[in-house]
Amino acid sequence: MKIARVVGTIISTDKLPAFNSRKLMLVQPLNPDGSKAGRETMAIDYVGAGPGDIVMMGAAPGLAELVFQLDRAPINELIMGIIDTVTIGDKATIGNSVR
Amino acid sequence: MDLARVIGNVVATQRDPALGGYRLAIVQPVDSQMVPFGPAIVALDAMNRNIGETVYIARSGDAMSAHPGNWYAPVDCAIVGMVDSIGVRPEHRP
Repeated sequence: MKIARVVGTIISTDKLPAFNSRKLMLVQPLNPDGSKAGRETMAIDYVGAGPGDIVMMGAAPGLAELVFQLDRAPINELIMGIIDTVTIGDKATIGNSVR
Repeated sequence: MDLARVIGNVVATQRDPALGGYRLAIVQPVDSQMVPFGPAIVALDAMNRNIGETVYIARSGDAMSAHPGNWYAPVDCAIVGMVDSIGVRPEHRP
């Protein structure tokens, strides 16, 4: 799983049925120190994250089918948790409760 | 999944029958400011998108589920939706 920040939302009406009523978020993967790690990507949120939140995001073939109990779902990344704190050594680096 | 822009078509007459007659598109992955990144790739386009439209693509084994007909299809990238709008806070723009 990757650490990422939710940076925006995507509005999409014309999509495959597996995406119906799912929240499409734009996410920026982060390193544990808070710096950007690679390019923005998209993820489906099902835990209630919003723009600005630090989250964990992951992908595995077939994962979305299991989580959403669908037969077929062409969904790569899922947001499966909202991160309160990331601690490296004894220093809290990023997280929604880190200022 | 990545944002992408449809920039072209691929015509391939001789192809794996499991692919079916669906359109193949060339898509260029972009970020939220429409700046391209990485190579342009071939994607299965079962949604019949037009050139110039902004879409999102699924990659790897999951993209196979975007094939409307076959359970198994030799696809590793597919267009799965069209983007109407992108909302990004100014402080989070790359």
